[in-house]
Amino acid sequence: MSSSSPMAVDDLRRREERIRLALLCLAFSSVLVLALIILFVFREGVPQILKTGIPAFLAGSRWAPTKGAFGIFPMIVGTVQVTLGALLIGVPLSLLSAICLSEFASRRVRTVMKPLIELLSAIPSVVFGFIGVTVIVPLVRETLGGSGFSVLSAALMLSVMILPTVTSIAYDALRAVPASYREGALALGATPWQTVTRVVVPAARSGLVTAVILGMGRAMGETMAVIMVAGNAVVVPTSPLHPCRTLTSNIALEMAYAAGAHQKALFATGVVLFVMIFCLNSLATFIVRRR
Amino acid sequence: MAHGLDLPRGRGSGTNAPVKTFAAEARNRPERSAGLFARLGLVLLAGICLAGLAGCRSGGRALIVAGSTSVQPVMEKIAGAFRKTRPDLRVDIEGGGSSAGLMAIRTKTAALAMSSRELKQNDPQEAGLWRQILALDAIAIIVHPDNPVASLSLSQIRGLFAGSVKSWKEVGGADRPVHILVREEGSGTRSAFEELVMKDGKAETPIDDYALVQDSSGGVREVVRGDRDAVGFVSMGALNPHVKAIAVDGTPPTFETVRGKRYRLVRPFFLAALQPPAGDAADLVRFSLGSEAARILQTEGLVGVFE
Repeated sequence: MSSSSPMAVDDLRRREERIRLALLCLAFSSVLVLALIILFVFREGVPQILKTGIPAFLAGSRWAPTKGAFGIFPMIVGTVQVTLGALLIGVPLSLLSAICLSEFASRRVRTVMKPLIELLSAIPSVVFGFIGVTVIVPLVRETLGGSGFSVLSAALMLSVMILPTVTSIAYDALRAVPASYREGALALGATPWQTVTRVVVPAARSGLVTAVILGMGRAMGETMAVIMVAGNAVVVPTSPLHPCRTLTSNIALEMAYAAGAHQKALFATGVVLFVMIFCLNSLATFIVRRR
Repeated sequence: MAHGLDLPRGRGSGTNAPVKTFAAEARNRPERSAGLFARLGLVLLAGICLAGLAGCRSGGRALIVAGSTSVQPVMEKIAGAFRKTRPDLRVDIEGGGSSAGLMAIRTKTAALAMSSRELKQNDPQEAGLWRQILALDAIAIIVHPDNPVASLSLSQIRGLFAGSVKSWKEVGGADRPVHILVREEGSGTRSAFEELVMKDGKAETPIDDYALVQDSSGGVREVVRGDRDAVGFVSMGALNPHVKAIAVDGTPPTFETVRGKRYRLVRPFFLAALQPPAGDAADLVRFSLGSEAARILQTEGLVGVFE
């Protein structure tokens, strides 16, 4: 390095600058793609929403796009019901697994269980859908009645699908709580369970909420597997055994043959979905920032 | 695409020179990995651009047939046999649906359209087109093999799908609820079913809102196979021994009853074009109506119009 002259340093700095620019361009390209997608979806979808009328589109309950009826209210309700159902079943399971792994499991159990739970997220969603159709749907049909293609089946299946996401993020949040908190609580005479419920979980609260919200996003965005088990009827489900259709399913189901206003209406469905997911992500970011 | 991605490496001096400098630099520069990443990124971008350009090049002589996904599988088989007689010609069969196919011949992106529905005579864009019936397809009403119901009248079927018949008991079966299965909005099979079954004269009874929706004939068939209370409709070509086809007004859907026009739920498959086809397109149309194509149609569960 003794041969380094001021010129070589200058040269180095210029190279650094070039690299910085190149990387910036690459980083910007993904933002550009996002912007183009938003632009395209909104340009195709928004005129159709305005043509139908915002209240008629969002609150209308009849969907027959080939006959000029574009109401997506049943699908908004279906999406919310399936998502909440999945959270209701999946979140307690995931949070308790995360607490168990982080606070109570021995190192050996943890090193086996953590990768196994994460492996669950590597299973393609169509495989979950297939298991849903061949196991969950007949089970619901035989034990509870109805056709089996239902809000309940979809929620059950999605609760398993969100398990790895919620568990591993919640686990990380719990592990991030400093050991001194636990030691302090135990030193004051708290039992391990009291330590977890009164100290560790409150300290990790924002991370746990983020985990739940990301799980919610996963449940809301799932398409293929839900199409296979939800029955896809355009009705406002009044029982967990009724079939339902989610916003994502609507797009995937009908895009193959959709043309003209029908196709625009599917883009409009995408706009509504986009706004819903955007709100959810903003909420997650907000909660994380508040930490 | 693979061809396009290979290009940057094979371009010779243009890309080789900077690579050489890079290698020389890498030996005595500390920020080697950062430079490598930046270059990799640039090469990747260049590759994507080149691949995009390669995708744009236009092919040689090709005959493009586009349209109904119900007609597409059989048309692909017919085109496969046709290619053997005309190895010089490229024949591309594309899906997209009947309407998309008819649009494609208007914009001249396809020479022939496949349609699984009648052309709309009141639509000026479809009324003047040349069309030829390729085959007849029957819509079969299917139930689980264990379902004792074997024959239904057209109005009973309408009642089942409208949701007014709630129990199989009302149509001669066990006292069990009816689970209805239909195709999604926009499907050609669904619109043919609505036309043939749900329409009574001028009035069309809407399909029950609680009907389960599947987006393929195979999907409908597999659900019916697994649920002994289910009823659905599929193209006759999608029938298999795991489901039972119901006789409509006493007539089961078979090759003979469809050809003899005794089975009622029949829809024609069309080939359409802007003008009466000439040249390569005419050859393909002639082949599609010939005896070899008729055999292919029959193995696909369709009934050819010429023997």
